[in-house]
Amino acid sequence: MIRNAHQLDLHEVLNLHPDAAPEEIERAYLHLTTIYSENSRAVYGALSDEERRWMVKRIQEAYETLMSRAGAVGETRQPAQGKAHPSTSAGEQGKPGGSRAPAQDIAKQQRGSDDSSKQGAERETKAESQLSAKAVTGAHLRNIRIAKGVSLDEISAATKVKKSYLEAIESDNPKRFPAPVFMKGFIKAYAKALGLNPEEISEKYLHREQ
Amino acid sequence: MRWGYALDTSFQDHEKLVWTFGGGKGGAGRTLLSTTLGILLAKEERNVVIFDGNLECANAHTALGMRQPQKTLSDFITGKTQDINELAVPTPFRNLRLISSSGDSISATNHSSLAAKNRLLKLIGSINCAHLLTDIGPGLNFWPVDLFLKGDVQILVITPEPTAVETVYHFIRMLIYRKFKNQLGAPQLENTLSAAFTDMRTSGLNDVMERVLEKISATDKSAAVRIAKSIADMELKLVVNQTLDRHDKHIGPAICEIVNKFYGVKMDYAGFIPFDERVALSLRRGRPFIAEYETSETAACFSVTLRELLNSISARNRKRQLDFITS
Ligand SMILES: Nc1ncnc2c1ncn2[C@@H]1O[C@H](COP(=O)(O)OP(=O)(O)OP(=O)(O)O)[C@@H](O)[C@H]1O
Ligand SMILES: [Mg+2]
Repeated sequence: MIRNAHQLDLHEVLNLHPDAAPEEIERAYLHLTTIYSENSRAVYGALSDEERRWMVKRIQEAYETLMSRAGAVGETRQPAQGKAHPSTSAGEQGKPGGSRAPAQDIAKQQRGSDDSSKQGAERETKAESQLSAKAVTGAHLRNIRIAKGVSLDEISAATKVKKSYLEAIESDNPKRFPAPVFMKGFIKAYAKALGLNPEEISEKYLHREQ
Repeated sequence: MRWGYALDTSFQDHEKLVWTFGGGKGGAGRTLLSTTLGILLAKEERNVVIFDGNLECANAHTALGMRQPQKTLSDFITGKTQDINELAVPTPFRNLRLISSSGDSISATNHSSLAAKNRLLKLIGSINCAHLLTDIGPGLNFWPVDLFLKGDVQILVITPEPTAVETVYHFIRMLIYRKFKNQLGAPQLENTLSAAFTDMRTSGLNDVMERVLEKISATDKSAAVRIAKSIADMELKLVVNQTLDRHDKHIGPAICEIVNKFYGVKMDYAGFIPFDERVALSLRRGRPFIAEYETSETAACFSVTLRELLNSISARNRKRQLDFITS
């Protein structure tokens, strides 16, 4: 009778109604991973680290399961769209793998103390799979960065791009964006530092529908 | 953004509503919020009383731009007055009266014995008005926590600072702890209870509640059911005060999410009030902010929060009626 996180079904974990659309699932996922991330301000003093990790795992599971269910439905209805879905974002296959190196380094260092680096790696792939969408938002990027365990300071140090600009990119805050001529370069540098495809990301970020 | 929301006129509740403003952290903004919402409600032709429940340090009168009234809760606590309704004095605002806390803190702190506080808790329901807005002082002791639980509308006020966030989780743990304790007949279970809650200093409450309920259930099944129901029926509201930026505004919903899943109680986000230095300036001039800056964006945030709260009360009443009819 008392509410308890242990008894929630997949939709309840993500606060979704049973017939939520993939976009809603994705939005809920991004929202919740931020809330339960390690440096979330709301988690402070609220949960033990064990509880927090447990919840992160539940969110991940719920997201993956619901997305794959939703993906299957989408495919039967609209095959063209279905294809552009899951982990094919690694459809950056054609690109030289070299561009991944710096971020992997940063990410590895970050995870040094974390015994479950395998789980972390899975989370990374999952976060990246969101990039298969047509548009990339700052929230997507932030989520991937967090999943990889890389801080903005580190990216800033690696790319020599001012942190405030990186923040502006992640928060989609045009007021704080650098001049348009620099914008593309900064997004590319950011993407590269995370081991993502710079061309694809800057394209999808800059040319999305408003 | 649209400003100047009208209050929900569909809100009709003929019963008296007790609003309580708690949260534990000193200086979070309980007095500001309770007096401001009081003024706004009174402006809507509702009969409002502000009850200053901060016995150690009364200051609701100051927030309303008044001097300390002659009659205060001290008179009641020391036995000078028997009728609590005599203590409700007019304020500069129509439809709004104030029951001020003690005039002198020494006698209040010394005389406000447990017995007097318990008497006050019982009498809150007999104050004549439509809306009783109860301002509560800081701390996590019996008085602020039990007084808070008297509310039909229980509002936690926090600031986005980590210290306030941390405190609000402690406050909620205390609420649940008192819920258990107040309903527990058997003293032998109290040790289990305190032990279990001390374990849980920095974690959620799901496990501890389950464990304690199981224990209680073993000896007194009906008590366990009663307690579980009273906790499941709780509906806390959260207001975040003194927000500075966008990130601050996200913290309220995030805290609610965590409480809803890990603390066994329902908590809804009711809104934010930005940090606004005019709040301090108007206080210095001895005028409530809301009266001085009625058309400001910050004032609109108060109105929006009030509307949100009233809407949720209406919704809850409708649901209860429906449950009643269908049960
Ligand atoms: N939104 C705001 N913007 C600017 N200042 C604020 C705001 N809210 C509160 N303050 C300032 O913070 C101080 C504390 O506010 P308030 O007295 O309402 O808090 P409280 O929770 O009642 O504190 P106490 O623990 O003393 O009961 C006030 O003096 C006020 O000037
Ligand atoms: Mg106060």
